[in-house]
Amino acid sequence: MNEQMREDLTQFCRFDCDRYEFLINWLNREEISHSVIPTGSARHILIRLDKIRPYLKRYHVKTLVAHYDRVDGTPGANDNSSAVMQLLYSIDKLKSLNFAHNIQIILTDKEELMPGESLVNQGAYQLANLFREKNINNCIFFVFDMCGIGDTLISGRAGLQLLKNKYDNEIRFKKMYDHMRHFSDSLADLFLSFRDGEYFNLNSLFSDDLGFLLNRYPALQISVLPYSDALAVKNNLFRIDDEKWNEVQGKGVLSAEYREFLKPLLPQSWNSNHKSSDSIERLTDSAFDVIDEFILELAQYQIPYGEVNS
Amino acid sequence: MNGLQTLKLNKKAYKLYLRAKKLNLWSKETCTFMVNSARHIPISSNELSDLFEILIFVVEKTEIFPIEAQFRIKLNNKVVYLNSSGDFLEQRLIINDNKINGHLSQGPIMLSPKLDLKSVDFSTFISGYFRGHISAEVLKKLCTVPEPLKVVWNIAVVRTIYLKFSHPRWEDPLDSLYVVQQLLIAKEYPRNYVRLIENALVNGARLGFSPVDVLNKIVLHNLEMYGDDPDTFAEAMQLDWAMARRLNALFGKENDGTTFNQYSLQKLIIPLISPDSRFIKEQNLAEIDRMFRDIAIRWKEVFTQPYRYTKDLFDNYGDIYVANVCRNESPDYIRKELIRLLNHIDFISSRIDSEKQYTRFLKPLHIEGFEEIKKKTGSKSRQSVMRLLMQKHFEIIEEYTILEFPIDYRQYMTFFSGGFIQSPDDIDFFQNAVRNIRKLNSTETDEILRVMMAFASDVKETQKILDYISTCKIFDRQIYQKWKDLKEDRQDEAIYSLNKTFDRYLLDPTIEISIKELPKMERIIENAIIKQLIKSPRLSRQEIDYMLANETTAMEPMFSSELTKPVDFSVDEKVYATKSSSSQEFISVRHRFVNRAASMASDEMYRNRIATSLIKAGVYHYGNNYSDVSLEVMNNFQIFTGEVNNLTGKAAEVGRECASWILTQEKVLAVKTINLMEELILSGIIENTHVTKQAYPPFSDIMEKPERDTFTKETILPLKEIYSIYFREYINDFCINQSAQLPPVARTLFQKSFPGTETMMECAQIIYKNLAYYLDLDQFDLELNALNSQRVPGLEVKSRKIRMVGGKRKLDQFFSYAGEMGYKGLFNEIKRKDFIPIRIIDTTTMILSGYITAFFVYPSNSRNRIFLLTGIHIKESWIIDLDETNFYREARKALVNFAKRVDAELLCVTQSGEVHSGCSSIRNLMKADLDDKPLIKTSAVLKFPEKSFNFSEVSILWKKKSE
Repeated sequence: MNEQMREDLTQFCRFDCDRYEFLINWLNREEISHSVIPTGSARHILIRLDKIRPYLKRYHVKTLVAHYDRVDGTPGANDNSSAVMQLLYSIDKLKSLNFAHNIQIILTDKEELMPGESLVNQGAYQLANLFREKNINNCIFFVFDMCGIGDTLISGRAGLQLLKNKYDNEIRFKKMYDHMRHFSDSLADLFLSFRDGEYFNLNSLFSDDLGFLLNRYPALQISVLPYSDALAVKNNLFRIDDEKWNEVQGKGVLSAEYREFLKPLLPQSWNSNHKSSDSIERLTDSAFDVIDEFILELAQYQIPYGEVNS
Repeated sequence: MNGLQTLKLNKKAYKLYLRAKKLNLWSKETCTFMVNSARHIPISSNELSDLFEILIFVVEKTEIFPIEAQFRIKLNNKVVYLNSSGDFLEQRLIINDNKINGHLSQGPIMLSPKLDLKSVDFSTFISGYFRGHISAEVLKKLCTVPEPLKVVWNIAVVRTIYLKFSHPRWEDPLDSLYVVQQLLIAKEYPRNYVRLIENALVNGARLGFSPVDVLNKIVLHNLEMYGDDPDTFAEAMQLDWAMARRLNALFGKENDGTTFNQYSLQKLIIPLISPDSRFIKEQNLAEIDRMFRDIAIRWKEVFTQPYRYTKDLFDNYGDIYVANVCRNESPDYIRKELIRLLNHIDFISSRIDSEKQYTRFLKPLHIEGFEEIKKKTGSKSRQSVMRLLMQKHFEIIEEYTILEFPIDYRQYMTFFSGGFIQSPDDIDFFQNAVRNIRKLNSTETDEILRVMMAFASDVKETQKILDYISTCKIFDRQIYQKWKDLKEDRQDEAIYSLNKTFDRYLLDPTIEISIKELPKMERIIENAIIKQLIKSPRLSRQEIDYMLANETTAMEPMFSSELTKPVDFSVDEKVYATKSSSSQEFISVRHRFVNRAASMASDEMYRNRIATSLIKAGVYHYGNNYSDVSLEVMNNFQIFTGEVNNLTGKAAEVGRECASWILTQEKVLAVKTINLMEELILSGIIENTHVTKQAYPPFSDIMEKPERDTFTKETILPLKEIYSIYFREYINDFCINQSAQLPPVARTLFQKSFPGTETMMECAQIIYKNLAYYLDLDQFDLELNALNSQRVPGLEVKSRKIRMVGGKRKLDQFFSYAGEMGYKGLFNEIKRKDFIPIRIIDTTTMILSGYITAFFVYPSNSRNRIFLLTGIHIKESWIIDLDETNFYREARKALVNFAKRVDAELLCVTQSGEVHSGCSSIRNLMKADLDDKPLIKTSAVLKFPEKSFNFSEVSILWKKKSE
């Protein structure tokens, strides 16, 4: 994390920061073209990077997503200012690539749901719904969330797990599950060759990816954790009784039971999420290096459109 | 159909029944037996009708009905037991390879198939303690005595002796009676000799002596020595009996064969009066009586002390010495030596008052050692040396006992049992050598001592060895001998070169060994280096020598040079607290295990019994579900005769299913298995693993530290090793190698596997899992974790430099011992061309810390090479000091590096988690890493003689970036 980025992060995490304003100003300052997509009360910011090198139509457009909203009264450094900054600061590098990378960025709003709200109130869900209405089919989504602490890449596969559970119960979800599975498998090569294949799949994490998945868009959550935390989560998950796990998931991923069940399983470094202690002091440079490297790796990695077709 | 109706079906049987009805005495009992037995045994059986015939014969001739007898009837491959009322007692399978237990020296007679298995075997008459066992053959002979013998001897008395006191080994006395009779007639001995001899027969029989032995060993001996003088002859005959009675009087109990006198007779009197004893041959009778009185009084004093372990200490240790002394020493020395021995036993037993101390006494090593001395003192001229040696031995043992068996004691006993102590001087030399070697603080104490004991004869020589040892990293007797002959300045150079070669050999698998000061010694030097590097307690020096002698060219470096280029990295050390917060539960659980194990009775039949009962349990269990099939299995199939190869179809299936059930199902069984394992391990029945010796110090540590907060990493780790690694190893060994020594039934079930269920290796894993669960093995990790201190911020973290390098030369054939994977000598991977052992070397400490093993395989339908990781095998005692996660990540990166170098497309890992590593922390790390990782199908199924690995699907850890 360079000085400029740290400065921006500090500003972005201030309690009185109007994050939308900040982002618009930042993009204007850096002269990055963008557009705002409103859905309900949410304002999503779309940054297309196809001006220098147009997107190749035979490949999917890899849409990197990070939510910029936060729980009121918290700095939200790890959740999710770090990811927003990582994406913003990758723009310059992506622009300078001498090949077509098919990457666009969306900074979403309304990821953090208020009590009483359901998934359809989530910004990402509404955005995906809009994409569907506009008949946009060639997008796949990489949702960057909790990317500020650690050194190990985490692939959040809660969505896939959820779909599998649904498919086990209802056949109509089969197509969707197959679709997502195909997407996930085709991404495996990317993960396996990245940083000597050192990454973890964690099925308990989800974020905006759920909103996209429910609108039949392939989506995957990307996070970063310290290796020891990831190990601890894995080991905790091994100890869970399958029946109990299915029972809790059956109650819905937004249910209080599910959240309560998940609480002790979550990594130690996320303990401060949604709290005032989620400050930038706790972020680690290694996490920024991992994401920086991963985005560039992702830029080189193309997923043929025909193969993963919604 | 009732029994009588059945009897009527067989003409012969019915005829016998009618005959039994006419008997004057015991007619009712005999008939009842016949009627009832016909309900359990097919009436067509010749064995049954023979039994009827003999029973009637016995009743007719002796007028005795064997009410307490059990009858044993052979039917095909089983034996059916009936009581004297003809009721069914049990049936057993005939197992032919059971060891027979001796009679007098080893306690009660077990029913043994090695006794003559006549169709009807009267040896199974059971009436009290080894009494009344008579074979049909002997009985027949006693009932059909030739007339000439009847004239001289009172045959009725002889027959009564047999019916009352005989045991199965007693032969008929007719030949001996004939010989004695001939002698009596030829020499015209007085008529009253017959009565004296008959009295001796009765008295001897009461004490358990066979009439044949009495006649041949005592009567004939006395006749030859004193026959001409009737008074002396009578006195001599009297003396034999008097010695037994003296003990009888001392103990004041009846000589009924069940009291302690029986023990005294076995252990003391029989050696004294046996024909090869010099005790009663070389003195006048009054003198002998006087000497024996001294011995007997001391014997009584020692054996009536209330010490717990007197008898345990004496058995198989003191008694062997007694027999030996009696054979070789003059009567006077016999008395002195026996009293010295009894004093020794008395002293030791007065100091040993707990199981812990008794275990520490290392009785098995005493027995071994004494046997060694016996072997080496065959010639008469050495007898006095042996006597002096044993006196010295007693002294040093007493000294060690006072010191509560310090570490030197174990070392001394190792030497004693290994036959290194051959004269009293050797004991002095040993004590001096140990003192000197202690100063060196070497880990190779045993080997150095061994060489010292073998080569050094004076102080100067000893000092030379110490000089060599303290400077040279390679120790070998041949190198030492060559080195000793070099000039002094060249000696220093040689040691420098040897040390350098030692370090380079470990780090560089391609190094050529050449030391100019020691020409033509390359092979020996390499072997010596290997012996220094392979310091596995699971492998004895002899085993290493054997493996080195059987090297194959397949071990020569034959893989890509890219693999022999090292990868270096650093791993952080962990910080341990000096004391744990060990829970009382942990301590009490361990105490319980140790106590139980230590209290085991040494019983050579134990193993066979357990194995047999396991099989029986399995068969009966199966029988509950499929009774007819079970019966079929029990009665008809070769499974129970050990002809494994003939097993086909249902029989094989059933047998194997039993095995699988036995090994997997019952909790009770698991608990029993634990007991068995512990007892086997601690009683030293598991040979060649040196587990007993390994187990000894940590067990004592734990027993001596009853308070809280006293455990350290150094005490917990060895315990963990014993419980987890040695159990694992033992189970593998038991299921693969040792099972060959089981009775046929057990062997069959242990050795076969069948499709769709567990293979033996998997069974072994299942047993291990059960054991681990019931032994709370996790608790060791918890204790160790509790000891693991949190890192203090700002404190400098120490790190170790690690090197990973592929190697495939002589050293690397020991790959499975460098780590603690639990498989001992199981696989022959090293001989495969595609097998890659990668050394893990701690270059900070220059320790070979373990191996990573890998193969090259190919995915289905592709020519892209896969670098397949099969296991990370490292020394637990080494990794425990390091940050395991840090190590795993670095090692993984190094493996990716190797995979890239050899142009492999993928780094994969087998899915069988159990074999990944013997180290639980590494296994857990691998499990987490593998979870939910993509899989790939391969066409590889690798077969080894002992085990097949199916690699049809493996997990991918890394993939080469597509171009």
